[in-house]
Amino acid sequence: MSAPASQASVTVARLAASHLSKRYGHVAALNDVSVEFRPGLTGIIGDNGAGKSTLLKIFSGVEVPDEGAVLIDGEPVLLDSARVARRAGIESLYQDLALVETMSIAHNIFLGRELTRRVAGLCLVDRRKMRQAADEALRKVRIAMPPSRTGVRQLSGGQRQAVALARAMRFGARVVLLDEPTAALGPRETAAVLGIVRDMADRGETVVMVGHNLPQMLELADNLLVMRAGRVVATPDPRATTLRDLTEFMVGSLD
Amino acid sequence: MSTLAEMGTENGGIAVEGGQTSTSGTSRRLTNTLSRDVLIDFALIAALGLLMVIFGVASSGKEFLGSNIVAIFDSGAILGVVAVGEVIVMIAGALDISVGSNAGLVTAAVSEVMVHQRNNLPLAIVAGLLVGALAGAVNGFAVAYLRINAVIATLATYSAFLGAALLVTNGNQVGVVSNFLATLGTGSVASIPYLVFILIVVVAIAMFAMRSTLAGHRVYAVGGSPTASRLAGIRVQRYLLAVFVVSGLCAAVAGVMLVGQTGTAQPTEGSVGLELTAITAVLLGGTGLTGGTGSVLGAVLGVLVLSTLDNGLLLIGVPSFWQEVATGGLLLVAVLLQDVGGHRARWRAVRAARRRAARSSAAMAVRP
Repeated sequence: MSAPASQASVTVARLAASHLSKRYGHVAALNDVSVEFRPGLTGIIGDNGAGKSTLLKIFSGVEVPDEGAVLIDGEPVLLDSARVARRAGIESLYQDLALVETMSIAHNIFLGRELTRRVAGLCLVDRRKMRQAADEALRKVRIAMPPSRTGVRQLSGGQRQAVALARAMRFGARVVLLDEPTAALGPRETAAVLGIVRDMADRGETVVMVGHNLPQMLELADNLLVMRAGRVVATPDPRATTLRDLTEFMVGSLD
Repeated sequence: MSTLAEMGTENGGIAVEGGQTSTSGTSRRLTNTLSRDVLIDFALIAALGLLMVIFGVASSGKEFLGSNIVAIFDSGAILGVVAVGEVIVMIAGALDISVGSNAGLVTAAVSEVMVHQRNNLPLAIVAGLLVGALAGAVNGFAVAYLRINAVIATLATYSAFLGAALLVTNGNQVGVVSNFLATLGTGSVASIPYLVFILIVVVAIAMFAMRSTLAGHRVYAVGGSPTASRLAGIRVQRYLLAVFVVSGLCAAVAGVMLVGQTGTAQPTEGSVGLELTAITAVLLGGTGLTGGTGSVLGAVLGVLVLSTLDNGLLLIGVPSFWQEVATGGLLLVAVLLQDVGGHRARWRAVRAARRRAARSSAAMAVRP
């Protein structure tokens, strides 16, 4: 696959995959997929079962490919757990959000990366520092949020996404992967969350988003990736593509 | 939607969608600040005070206060240590049914070493603690790495540990001769029993570990959502293994205390049944079965409420069978009360929905 036209390959892609294949039994979920992600927002679209989620799962370390490799800055890496992927700077927002309901916003933002201080050889959590830093991070998202000591259980769907996004932003992720981040949200919250996503892309971060809403994708994304039956079938320029073209790419010829 | 400037302040609205009245916002914020755990701790302390006053008055005050309060702590000390281990396991979202028979196995191990190693007490205690921790590790391995449901795994080891204890002691009570242990188990300083000091030390360490250390913080995370914790890079299995080892260690300390108190190895008496009472105390203390919530202090207060109830009912001459009934009733009432907020919220939502439905059908009716 060639690099998107707008971003001629002057640099090595931050995140790429070469010749990925993944089978589940007799079903080929991914079939020889090669992609490159560059700064800005890349939208991945495709029908159900096209392989979008499998592709994201491989990048986030949840699934390991049968063939092919993931490349970070051009170097092949083995992402065999969520832990490893996160260490490599790949931050994922899962459909089910992966937040701990019983904990506060602050503790969720710092989950697995808690701020600590050493006292007499003991590793103690620094709640105050986490709260302050979390409040700071929340100010950068566009959704009105309660103080960061509030429990995640009390948040709306959009606020939860904002927490997950704040977490991704806080740690300067190399790449942020979003799997249908607005699937469970109302129109207002959807607009707010997409606003945050667009902000991140405008700041030059590499954001990859799987979505079903084609008009939204056309409007929002800098690059598009259309998948069908486990393959990447097109990488159209969203500014020069119509809805009809996209649908045709997704399901085959409309005639 | 609030402006950017508002968001960082304490006044930022909780809901994005607005429409929330200020009163409900305030009360919600209040319950945020005064966390549920703290409220439950206060309620338990109030319940303790109330029980003491009731029993004090009922027994005309003579015997109840003073030395009797010490007796309450004394009788709750061994149970308290077991409950500390149990609450940590339950915060991690699991359950340990084997703690009672583990404590019994530890008493057997201690007596065995004492008999065969010429009363080498330090060796016996170390051996006892090792046996308890190892038994806990067996549980933890089964739950974390073999992925056996915690209830099933520890139900199995409950039997296994009990059987092992009976095998070691041949089913007999074995006398343990040790002045030190006897003093530890029955002696006191400034009329406070040594067993109570052990409880205080164990509770202090556990409270500190669960509240302030990174490990304790992550036990709460693992219990709250194992999946989210794993995706965040926390090694969930290690934490599960660790909480069972801690629980086993607490059972072992309780076992050593039991040997001191009774002067014998107790594979059944005094150890079997501890697990259910400990779980009762933990539930009374506001820790749920679903993990991620609860506190060590709550569990210990739960133990004290149970001991006070037993002690008081005995004092005013209520037959011991009624004590069991009272314990059960108390547990039900306590668990119901702890969810009162949830019930009320659900009830309010249902009523509001009914009103909306009534209004919209009324609006339909006037439409031409």
